[in-house]
Amino acid sequence: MRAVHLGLTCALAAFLTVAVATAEGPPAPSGDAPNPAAPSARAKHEVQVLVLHATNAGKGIDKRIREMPELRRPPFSSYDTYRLVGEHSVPLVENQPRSVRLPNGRVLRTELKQILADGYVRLLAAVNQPGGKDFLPLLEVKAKVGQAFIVAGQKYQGGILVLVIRVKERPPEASDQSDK
Amino acid sequence: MQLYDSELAPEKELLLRRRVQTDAEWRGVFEGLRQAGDWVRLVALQRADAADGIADRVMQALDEGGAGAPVERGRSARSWLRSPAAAGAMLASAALAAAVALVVRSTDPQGGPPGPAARSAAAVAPSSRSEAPASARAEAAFADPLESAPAVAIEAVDFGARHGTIFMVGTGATSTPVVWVMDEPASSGGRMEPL
Repeated sequence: MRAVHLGLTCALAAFLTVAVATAEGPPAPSGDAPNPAAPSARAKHEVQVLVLHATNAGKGIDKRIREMPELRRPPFSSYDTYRLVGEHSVPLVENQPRSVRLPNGRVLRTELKQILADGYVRLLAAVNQPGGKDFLPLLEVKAKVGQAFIVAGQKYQGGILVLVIRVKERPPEASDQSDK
Repeated sequence: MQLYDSELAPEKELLLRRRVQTDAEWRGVFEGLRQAGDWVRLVALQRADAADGIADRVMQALDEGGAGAPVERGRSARSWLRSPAAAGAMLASAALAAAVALVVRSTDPQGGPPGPAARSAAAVAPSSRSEAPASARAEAAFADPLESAPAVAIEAVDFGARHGTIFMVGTGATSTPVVWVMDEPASSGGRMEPL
């Protein structure tokens, strides 16, 4: 019975700690909360999309592709040739979707959903086939600015397409006229 | 193996048992499975005994620790631990304490942005991703080993009608998340086309 009392006391103490922490704690800057200093009209971010064509043509990695050690690791290393077939930098404004046409006719749609604290952003992406079924209906990513992620697998001309997607800070001198 | 585990349909089991009786090779295989099973059971039993022995030795050492031992207040620690109510209460308080630690940590303003692990139940292995329903929302967290918060978190994926998988490609100091979609529609079971 004494042990039961001890356990109940511990549980009560834990409950009170939770209550105090949630009721009186300062509002924490959550990584998911929108940043009040978020830009409004002018794009301060851009999404960089490298479109690589992976094949086994025995030609190595295109010199225009910057250092990407991922391509030498499985499963990417199962292709010996990587050619840069497209490079796009698309300005991003919150909740304004942007599209990039891919070599296979599909469209990569990106949308900056939120600018988060500590240099993070939430990005939506999708790959659609105009007039056809979606290839990748939804991809939601929380990424630190400058960090890349990869979407791969689309068949294209005897190989596959590898999309390297990275949100970057937009240079101040960049013009919004380049919006696609 | 299914025969040994009695997982076969009765008619199939009967058929195979006849085969085991008549075929020396099959009989040998079946006997091998039986011996392997016995061995596994024996090892499990020995390990359980060994674990019990450790507990006994620890408790004996505590009991022999003298009257000044903190666990002795008219009641031995062993009997105290044997009380189901006490054990349950301690487990409950331990679980609550863990919950408190999580809540306090997630509201800690110095803790940086909460990683996707706070939202998602768990990181999912690539193999299970590929077998998951295509329309299911998929969540996975990818941690940058150099930082406390993950650099990139795949928070949700809808693979639509296709199979797909999420995995990491490690490049030494950092890792890059990869969403790989199979460029073939998932087989949905024989769609009928008009002739």
